[in-house]
Amino acid sequence: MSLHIDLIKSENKYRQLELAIAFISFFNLIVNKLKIKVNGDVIHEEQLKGIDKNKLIKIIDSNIDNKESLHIQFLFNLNSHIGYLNINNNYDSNIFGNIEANIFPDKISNSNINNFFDLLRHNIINKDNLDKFFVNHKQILSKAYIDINEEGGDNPFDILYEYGTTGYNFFMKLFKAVELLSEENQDFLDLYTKLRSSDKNYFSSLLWHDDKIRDYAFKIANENNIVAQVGSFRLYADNKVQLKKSYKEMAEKILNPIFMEIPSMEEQVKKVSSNLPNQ
Amino acid sequence: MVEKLEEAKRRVKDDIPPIGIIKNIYYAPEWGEKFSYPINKLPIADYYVEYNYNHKNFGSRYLIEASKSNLHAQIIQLEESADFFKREKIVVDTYLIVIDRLSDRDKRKYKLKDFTLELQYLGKTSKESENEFAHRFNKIGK
Repeated sequence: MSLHIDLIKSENKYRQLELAIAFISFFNLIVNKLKIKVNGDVIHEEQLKGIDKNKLIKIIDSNIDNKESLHIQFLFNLNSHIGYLNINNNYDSNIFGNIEANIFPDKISNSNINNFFDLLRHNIINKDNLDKFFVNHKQILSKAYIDINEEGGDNPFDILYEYGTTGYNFFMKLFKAVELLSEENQDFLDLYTKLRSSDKNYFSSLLWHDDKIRDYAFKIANENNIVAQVGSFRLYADNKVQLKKSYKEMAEKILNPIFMEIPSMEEQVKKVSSNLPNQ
Repeated sequence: MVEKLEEAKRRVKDDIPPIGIIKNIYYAPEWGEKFSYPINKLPIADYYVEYNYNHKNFGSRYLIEASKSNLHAQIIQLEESADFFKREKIVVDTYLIVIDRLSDRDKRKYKLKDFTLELQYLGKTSKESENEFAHRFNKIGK
């Protein structure tokens, strides 16, 4: 349950560093160790009492040929909790996000804080502040999210926190939810069969830009104790069960009425085919 | 992942490989105290174990990090603990991760055909194939 942050594609190592330092400063993280690796080899390691941004820039500059292979790791304290913040190399960025932050399980005291999501759950990091941080940096941000089972961000039932800069992605997630629900329920399979033949980008943008539909979807989410807000797009759920219930309801109440009257593509193809003369 | 001392004691059978008679098991806070590890500043591995049996390749002193699924974070915890022992010149013979399953992300990063694991703290570099890796990290201690 770590926090994964993706920047927009054009942003480079310097911008990643800038965002990481801003994150550390915004949440008052006390950084006590820095480790930099290139292709798995440690090239720089030191105990820190604060971050010297210029020094870090110099290190990146001195590895200019390997810039995108640099893996920068900060170990930090937040109150009594120990965590890490990684600026990942190119390869790891595709798996863990450009920046990844997490808390190590507490093995010493009796606290229940064992991962980054616990920090939000127990209000050690206020989720509104986390949103605020991402709003402040949305020009360079693609999305930030926390997933429960570290599945990689593709499973909407697995993501308990998300900040996205592209609002219509909210409905893309709903489509993905329908796809997953179709594996366990015939009604959703019928809906998914119709849905999959549509242009999902176009359709989700259409739904997102209809104020009434978007507000209705958020109302459903809110009724399930899920915070879903417009601006860019923000989502926070306390647990997976409520999140799944919420997507189910949205699919039933919004997508079903839209697609109910539309014949499936398979039916249409068969219809046209049967009307063609035999050769 | 051993969150609490009581849980560590319950999980001992799963987490510690039965490769010989165990002389001592120190859980994270205990070995931290024993070796003056900066437990409030650095992540700490779950167990320091001493066996009576001295294996010719793997020795008798093990540092073990155990978790259900988060290999990525386990490696950092073990690495930091290993750095400490190296810095303090305290001999640990084998560093070991015990894991129940790999998360999807861990599979993408670690369970690749060309993945190699460098056991640098053993004093040698050993490159392991996917099968050996899976065997060592999924099965050991079970």
